[in-house]
Amino acid sequence: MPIQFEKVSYTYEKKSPFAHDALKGVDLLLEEGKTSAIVGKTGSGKSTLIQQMNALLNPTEGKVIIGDFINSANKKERSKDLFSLRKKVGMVFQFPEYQLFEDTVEKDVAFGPRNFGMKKEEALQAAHEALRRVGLDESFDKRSPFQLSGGEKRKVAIAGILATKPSILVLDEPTSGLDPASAEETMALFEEIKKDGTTLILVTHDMDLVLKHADQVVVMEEGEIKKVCTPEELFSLSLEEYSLDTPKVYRFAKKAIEKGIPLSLEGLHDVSSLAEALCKALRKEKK
Amino acid sequence: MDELAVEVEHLSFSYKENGPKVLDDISFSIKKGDYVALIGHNGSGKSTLARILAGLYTEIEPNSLLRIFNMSYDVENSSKIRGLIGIVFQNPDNQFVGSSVRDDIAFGLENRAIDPSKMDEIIEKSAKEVGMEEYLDQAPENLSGGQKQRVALAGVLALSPSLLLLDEATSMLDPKGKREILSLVKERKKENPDLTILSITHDVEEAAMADYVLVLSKGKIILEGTGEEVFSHEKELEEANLDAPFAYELGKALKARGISLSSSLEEDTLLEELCQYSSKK
Repeated sequence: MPIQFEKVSYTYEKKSPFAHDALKGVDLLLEEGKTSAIVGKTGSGKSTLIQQMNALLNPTEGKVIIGDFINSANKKERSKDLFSLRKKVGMVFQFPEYQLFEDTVEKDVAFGPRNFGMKKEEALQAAHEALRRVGLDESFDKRSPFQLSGGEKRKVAIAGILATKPSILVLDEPTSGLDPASAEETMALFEEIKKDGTTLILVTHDMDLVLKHADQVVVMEEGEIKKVCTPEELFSLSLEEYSLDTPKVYRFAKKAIEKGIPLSLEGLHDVSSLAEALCKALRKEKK
Repeated sequence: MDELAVEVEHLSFSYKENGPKVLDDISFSIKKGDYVALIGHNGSGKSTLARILAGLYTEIEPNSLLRIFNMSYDVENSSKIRGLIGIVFQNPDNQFVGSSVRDDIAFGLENRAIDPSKMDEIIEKSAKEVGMEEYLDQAPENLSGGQKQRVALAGVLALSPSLLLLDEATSMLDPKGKREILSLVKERKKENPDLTILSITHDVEEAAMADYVLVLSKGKIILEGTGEEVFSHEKELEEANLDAPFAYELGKALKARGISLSSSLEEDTLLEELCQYSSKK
């Protein structure tokens, strides 16, 4: 399902002396089946933007069209069926493991589907499927979520979202606090889910993650969209203007170019593609 | 002989009697004034170890030896040791106890019954050290995660600890917040060379900065040494769910393609070598 923003503005505490414009006339299309990364510094409006996507917030101006749901500033135009919207848009908030609460893993994961009207047996079935999908076997079903390690808890929390089978997944810093191997596993899982046509929205400060996984990057600054492009386009620019970090691969490549190694920035997305490009450049020079 | 800040011998710990061993027969020592990084995967026992060192869990198994500045946690010494240790935890929201930055820094001082007439001066000095002097009367909800961690650090530094424990103090922060905290810690260390730091992290770039690195996996220390020594054991690191620093990974990838360089952990060194390589005909 695509998400379309049309001239969306949002003001916190409107009509009060504390009024604060968090979004200012945002026009944006997030395509179906793609991964869109949303980047920008703290306070740039990233969280306000994603909260419009499942109508946790309603725009104060303009509208957001999520599939057939219209989240509009105009109350008459606004769709009423929040229930099915929230079923379609799954939100994985930062540190989702803090939201675990049930006494067994399977009950915790089944909570979402139960809430969306599934019968107990069905919901447990959906929970088991989701748990297998995130790589937790039967031995976890009856355990307490509170006795698991940090990485395992994160997986349980993600399974809880997957169990409701959303067609849009909003991920807020999904890998922070995870060790490198667990982080990689988690992202591989989302790539797998994307193959079913799920739209992924990735909110992150981690530019290595953006480079590796995003199809499109949306740069936000003070409530406005500064740029929408591919990660390669963004990272070949000078990033200071946007106060973003440069991914490690690009940082090294740019330094190498400065030192006179004739390197091409095209197609760089991880350590091995950088090594490949460096080899090519060095061999070319030797000839 | 070098003075030791921490001595641990045959330390084992489990949360439940006869339960799984979270720490299994660990031995290591930390020299006074060293910056040591302890790295390990999620669930490796890192945080448990930090809490034991800080004297938060005292029920360690018999035959385990734990001495901090030549004292062990017994009735006589435990409050003395706790007075020498400062700890900054992972989640900035879990340790902000005051209703303003000033109150938060004062909390530790009040606990140590510092003379109230001296408190203001100490608070302002510590806030200045972490660059938060402009925020003294701000409430925590107006601060970013990085700022909250800076306040936590100020609260700890106000007590002038001899051993600073950082328990994943940067892992919940964005890259900018991370850099702020790390450069602050480095600065404090420079000004006070006697300060011993144990930083628990899974950020290998941070670990590469330390004087000495300990690698914990499944409750055991599997590697220790300088950064270069430790990161040359790729197989063990991979088994322990850890990466090597970027420069090391790139060096390895280049080697696999026929360009052999020294295995440096520093990006700039690697780049220098690459340039030399290309000018050699």
